[in-house]
Amino acid sequence: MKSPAADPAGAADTSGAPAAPLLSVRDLSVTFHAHAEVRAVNGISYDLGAGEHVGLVGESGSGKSAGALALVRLVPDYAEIEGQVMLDGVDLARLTERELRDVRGRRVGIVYQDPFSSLNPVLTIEKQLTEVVRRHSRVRAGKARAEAARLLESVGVPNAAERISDYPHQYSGGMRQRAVIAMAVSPRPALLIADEPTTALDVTVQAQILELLQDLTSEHGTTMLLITHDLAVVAGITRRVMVMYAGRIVEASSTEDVFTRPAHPYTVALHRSLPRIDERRERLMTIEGQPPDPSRPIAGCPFAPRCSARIDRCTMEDPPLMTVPTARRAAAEGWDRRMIREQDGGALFPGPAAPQLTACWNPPPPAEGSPDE
Amino acid sequence: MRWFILRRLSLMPFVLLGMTFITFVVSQLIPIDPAAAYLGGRGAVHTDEAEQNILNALNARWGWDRPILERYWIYLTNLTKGDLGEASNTLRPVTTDLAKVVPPTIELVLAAMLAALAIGIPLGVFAASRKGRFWDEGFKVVSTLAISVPVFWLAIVGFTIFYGRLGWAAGPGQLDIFTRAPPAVTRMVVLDSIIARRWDALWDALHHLAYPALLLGTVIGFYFARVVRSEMVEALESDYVRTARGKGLKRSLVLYRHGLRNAIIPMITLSGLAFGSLLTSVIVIEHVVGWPGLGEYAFRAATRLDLNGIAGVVMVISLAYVMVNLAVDLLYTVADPRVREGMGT
Ligand SMILES: Nc1ncnc2c1ncn2[C@@H]1O[C@H](COP(=O)(O)OP(=O)(O)OP(=O)(O)O)[C@@H](O)[C@H]1O
Ligand code: SF4
Ligand SMILES: [Mg+2]
Repeated sequence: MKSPAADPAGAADTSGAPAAPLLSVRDLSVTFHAHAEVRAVNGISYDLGAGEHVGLVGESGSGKSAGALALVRLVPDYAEIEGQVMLDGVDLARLTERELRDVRGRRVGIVYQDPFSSLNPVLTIEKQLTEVVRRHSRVRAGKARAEAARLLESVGVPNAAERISDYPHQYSGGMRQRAVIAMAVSPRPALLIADEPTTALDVTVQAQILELLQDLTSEHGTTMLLITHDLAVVAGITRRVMVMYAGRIVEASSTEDVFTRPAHPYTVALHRSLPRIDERRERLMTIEGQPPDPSRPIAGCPFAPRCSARIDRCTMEDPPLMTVPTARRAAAEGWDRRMIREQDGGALFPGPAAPQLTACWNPPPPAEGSPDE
Repeated sequence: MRWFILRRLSLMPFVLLGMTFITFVVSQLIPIDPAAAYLGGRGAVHTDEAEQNILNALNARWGWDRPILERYWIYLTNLTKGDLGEASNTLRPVTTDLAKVVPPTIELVLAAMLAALAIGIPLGVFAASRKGRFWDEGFKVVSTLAISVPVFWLAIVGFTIFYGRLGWAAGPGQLDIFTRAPPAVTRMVVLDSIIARRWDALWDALHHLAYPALLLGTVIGFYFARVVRSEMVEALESDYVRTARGKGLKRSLVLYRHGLRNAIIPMITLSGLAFGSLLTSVIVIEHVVGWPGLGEYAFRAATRLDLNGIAGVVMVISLAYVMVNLAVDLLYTVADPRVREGMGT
């Protein structure tokens, strides 16, 4: 398996060769004990190298936010988290709430999905910025305010010195998201979780925000987990992509591979749902059918009801993540899990040096689904 | 903002005009003869000529025999001179009476309000931060009881226990009969004691104030706490509180600065609405503990059908309503920047 090459758009992160993992997630599950029991994240494992930019892509409801926010336990009380979350050798899942407070913001910054609700409506931007500065750098109030103004300026809010005393409702969506980004990067976190940072914004603003995120993270060598439901967003920003479906990672590839030779029928379907410029009209196809009800356990592949490549084994056994060559042979030669693992040299999960992985008994052939090139 | 206040205040005369008119009409509809009530009777059939003479004299003295509109007109012309007429129940000008009975009530209401806030807000925040757990469930039961038990019953039972049995509460009135009252400046005894540096009187005044203020404060406090709790629960599930937690902020900052600052906004309106029931409770409590305030006065004026006295009380209460509503709106604009902007500060 060749090592992941530069991504198609050419403007990749500059971190170069894979570094030692900053974050190691093992068997992370998130279950909401609401009126129904919802297993939003179902045993995912992955590594993020220091300074890496990695995309996490999937439909709405696939568990992207739950999986990412659970890393720092930023979920409601009724959510149960299982698994291991090693950040720099410390298992965040075993920290107390008080200990986690020093990790949140300081080590892990978060940019949220909806800038219209993620800022406190009754506090000024200045207050909300200053409090994070003061929390993590212990400076005097006056200095913290100056730092807040500098931060707001650095994320490109025009007229920052004046606009800093505004309330969130006086900001546009893009400016709010810039303010949230300023709060997230202020303590120089090692990991930045960007949870669909542009979904709620106008198309024109989206590119600017993505560029800002990329600049800020490259500048400080920050690791970024960029969550999106839109494959186009990760192109040109991340080196690797993890595709999530129904609370699992179903494919992990270099960004190039995801575009040129997707290894999972769901990824192929995601491509079809992208607006295509090479066609006369921009067409937005959504994937037919519904994702499975997360409150019900599924036997077999969760994508099976919507999959056109479905074979017999799909409805009987849930496919594990495996290399593509192994996946191609596993179903045909009737390999069980143990043999699959043997073939791949152990259980595989996405990471800086991992090969292209797919959780599918019948992965698409190389040509199918690749964009016309 | 200034225009907003002026506009509100300019409505005040119309409110008073309306309220006094309604009071006159309603008191006219009551099938009791004020003269008979004055004598302590209840509209008896007056066959006795001597008795009839007395009634006639009384009617002439107080003008009760004149047509309602004429009486209302006289009342209004006097009102413009700041004269509210004479109270048939005390034989003193109503303004003199009010100047005496209003300050003690303000004192009691303020103390009760302070107690209610001091009890209600932390309690609501506490329950919300433990939503669904033991203390929250306990809070739900106790607060439901506290707001559904009738205040008059609670006041009497409480007084029997705390004054009668335990002797913790002070006796009736604002001061002990053996305590020399401080010179009346504000007529709020606590304040007057401080002004006169009479610490013995201050201690005694606070002791007397404690029972009615704490009882009222507890009842209203539980009402506040329920509102704070439900608003806090909502706020704590909001995205901005998640953002605050995601910054690594301390729990107290998340709860109070981010949660409560938002949860308190609807509380302002609700405490304005609660003002009405607060007044009702005050009248009841004053009667139970013999607090020489507006409630006691209203009670006496009503039972003696003292029309001027009643009209005076109604006027004070309507004024208070207008002021409270104004205060609510002003507080609202302070608490919620989105409203502040809409008013063109
Ligand atoms: N607070 C919650 N209580 C109960 N269920 C929840 C909660 N939050 C998320 N879920 C459920 O968990 C599943 C995953 O939700 P999540 O928000 O992680 O999806 P997502 O991939 O981020 O989607 P989106 O693109 O819409 O943000 C969904 O089925 C959702 O209904
Ligand atoms: S395992 Fe089967 S059903 Fe699932 S994606 Fe692959 S082919 Fe489709
Ligand atoms: Mg999400």
